[in-house]
Amino acid sequence: MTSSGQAVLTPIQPEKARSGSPEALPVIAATGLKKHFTLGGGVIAALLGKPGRIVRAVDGVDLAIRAGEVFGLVGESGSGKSTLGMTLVRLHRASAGNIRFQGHDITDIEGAKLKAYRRDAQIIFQDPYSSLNPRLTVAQLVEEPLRIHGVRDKAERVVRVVQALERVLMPPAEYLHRFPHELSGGQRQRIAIARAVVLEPEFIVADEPVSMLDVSVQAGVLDLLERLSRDLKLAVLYVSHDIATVRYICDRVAVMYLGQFVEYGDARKVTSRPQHPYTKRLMAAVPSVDPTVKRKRVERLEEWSATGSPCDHDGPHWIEVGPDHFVACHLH
Amino acid sequence: MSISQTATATALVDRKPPVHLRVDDLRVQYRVADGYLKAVDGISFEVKPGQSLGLVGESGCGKSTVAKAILRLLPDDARVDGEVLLDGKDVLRMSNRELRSVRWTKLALITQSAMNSLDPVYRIGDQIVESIVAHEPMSKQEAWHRAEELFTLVGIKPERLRDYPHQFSGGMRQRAVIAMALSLNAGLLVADEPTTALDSIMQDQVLARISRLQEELSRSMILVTHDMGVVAETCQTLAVMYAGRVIETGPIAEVLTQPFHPYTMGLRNAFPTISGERRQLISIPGNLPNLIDPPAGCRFAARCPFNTEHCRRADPPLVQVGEGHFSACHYPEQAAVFRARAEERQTWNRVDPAVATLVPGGTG
Repeated sequence: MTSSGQAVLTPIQPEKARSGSPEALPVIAATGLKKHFTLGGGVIAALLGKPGRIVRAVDGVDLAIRAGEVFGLVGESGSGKSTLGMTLVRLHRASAGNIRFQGHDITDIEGAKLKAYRRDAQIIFQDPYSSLNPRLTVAQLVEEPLRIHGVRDKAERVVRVVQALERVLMPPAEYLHRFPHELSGGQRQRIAIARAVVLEPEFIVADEPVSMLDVSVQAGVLDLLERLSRDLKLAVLYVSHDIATVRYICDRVAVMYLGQFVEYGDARKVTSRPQHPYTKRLMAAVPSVDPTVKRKRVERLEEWSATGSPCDHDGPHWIEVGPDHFVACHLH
Repeated sequence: MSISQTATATALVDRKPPVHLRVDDLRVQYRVADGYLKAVDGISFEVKPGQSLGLVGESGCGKSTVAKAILRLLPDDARVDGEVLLDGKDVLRMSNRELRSVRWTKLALITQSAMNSLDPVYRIGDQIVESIVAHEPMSKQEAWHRAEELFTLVGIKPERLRDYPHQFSGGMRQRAVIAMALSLNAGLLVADEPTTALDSIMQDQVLARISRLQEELSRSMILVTHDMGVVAETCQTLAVMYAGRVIETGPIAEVLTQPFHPYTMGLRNAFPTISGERRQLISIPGNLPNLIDPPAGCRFAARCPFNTEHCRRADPPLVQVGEGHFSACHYPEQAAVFRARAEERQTWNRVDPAVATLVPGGTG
C-alpha cells in the first residue's frame, strides 16, 4: 500500500484508526468537512429573490490528529485554515461532513453536550493583546474557565491555576497578581495557553499563536506547545501561515489552499521534499537568514493558478508519493 | 508593467536624488510617571545615497522611536537630542515650513499599523491623489493616473482605487499604504515593520517590490523590523539595537555570518529557517532592562550567557571588529567561542529568566 504514486481516497488512513490500539485512535478526526458561508444573503436580498454568493471557506477536508501530536495547518490568508480550526472546536457549525472526537460524532451536538465538548477542545488566538481581559489579574484570568465549567471548590480552583501557570513556566508567586498590561507579548501568550490547559483538554487549536510575537520569544512559545502536547498527551492543531515554524514543532502537516488540502503528511518529508507547486511556493516565500544563500524571489503578483483549481470529481483525490506523504491528485 | 516603465512614465516629476542621512548621537526620552524613559540612548548611523539599512531588535528596544524621530513624528513631550542630518540639514531643527517641504518628497514613512491609517470615509484613490497633489504641480487626473500605476505595482487592480478602505482586506490596505508612500518617490523611505501584518507570500512579494524599486530608482531606505530574514534579503547594512543602543552594526553578510555580539548570535538562533539542516530554535530568556534607570555596565549582561563581573560594571563601547563592522562587547576576541556555544540550547538555559527580568536595580 506504500508503493509510490498510488491513488487513495483520503490521506488519513482510516484503517489504522479502526484496527489499531486505542492510542492509534485519533483524538479528533474529520471527514468530508465543509464550511460554506453565504454572502449578501440578507432579508432584502431574499425578498428580492436574489441568491447569496457562497464562499467555500472549507471545502471537503479529511484529517485526523492523534494524542500527543502537533499537527500543522499552513496556507496563506484566506485559505480557510482558521475557519477549519474554528469548525473543529465547534465555534462554527459544519455545513457538511462530520467531526469525531474520541470516536463520538460531535458535528451537530448542542446544549450540555456542546458545553462539555468545549471543555475538552480549546482554542488559543493570535493576538494576546486583545484576547485577555485587561481588568482581570493573571489569577482571575486562568481561574475564569474553571468557574465557567463549574469547578465549585475554591481550593481546587487555586491548585489548578497554580499548576497551569507552572506548566507554562510562569512562576505563580511572581505572576498571579499581575495584570496583562504588565506582561510582555510572549508572557501574555503563555497566560492564554494556561487558560486553555487549566481545563485539562484533549485537543487544542493554536491559531497563529506566535505571529504577533518577537522572533526572540517565538521559539519559547513554540517549544512550550510542543512540550505540553507531548507531556499531557494533547492533540494540537497548529495553524500558521509560516511554513518555516512548522518543521520545528509539527509531526505532521497539511497544506491548505482555497478550502482544500493540497499536500498532507509527515512534516519533515513535506518540508524537505514538497511535491505540490503551492507548497513549493509557500516554502519559497520564507526569507533566508543566511546571506550566502541567494533565494530566487517571486516578484509577480499573479494569482497562483498554474495547476488549475483543486479537483471536484469523485473517486481518489490523493496520490501517495511516499510513506505518510500525500499530494492532491489534480496534479497528476 | 515593469518598474522601469513606471519610472519613465513618472520621470517628469520624479527626478529626485536619493537622500543622504546621517544620525548623530540621537537621544530620545519619554516622560513617564516615575521619571524619564530613555528609549533611544545615543545612536549614530549613516545611510548613504541609494543604500538600505536594516534596524533590528526586539519590541521596546527603541527602533520605532528612531524611525519616528527621523521624521519628527514624536509626541511633543518627548525630549529629543542629537542630530538627524538629511542631506546636511538637521531635521530636528527645521521650521514647520521646511519640514512640510521635505516630508513626502525627501522622506516617506510606512508605519506598522499602516493599514489603520487610511481615512474610512474617503475613497482610497482620493486619499492617494490628495497626497500627490499637495506636493507636486499635477492635475488630479494625472495624479489619479499615477495612483493607478502604483496600484498595479503593489498588485491591486487599478479599478479598486474607487473602493473605500473597509472593502479591502488587511493585506490590501497595507499594500495601498505602501503605494501611497511610494507615490511621491521620496528620496528616503522609512519602513517600520511594513510587512508584519501580512502573510508570508504577501510579505515576500511586497518586499521584493520595495527592494527592486529601491535598487532601480536608487532610493535610500531604512527598514525597521524584528525579522532577521527580511533584513538579510533586503538591506546592505544592518544595525542591531538593544535597549536604546546600537550594539552591533556592519555589512549584512558579515554581521550575520560572523556576529561578534552575543545578542546578535541569540537573535540569529531564534529565527526559523526553511533551508539547510534543522537547527534547534532557541529563544533568548528574560526581558529588556528598565530604561528609566538602566543598569550600569553592558545592558545585555543580565541575559547574556557569557557575562562576567566586568560586563556588569563597565559599559562596553562600540569597537571596530572588521571592515565597517562594529560591536559593543567586551570580548570580541572570544567571538568564535561564543558563536559555537550560542548554538547550544543549554548555554542559554543557564541564564535564569527571573534574574534577567529583575535586574533594573543593578544586583551585579
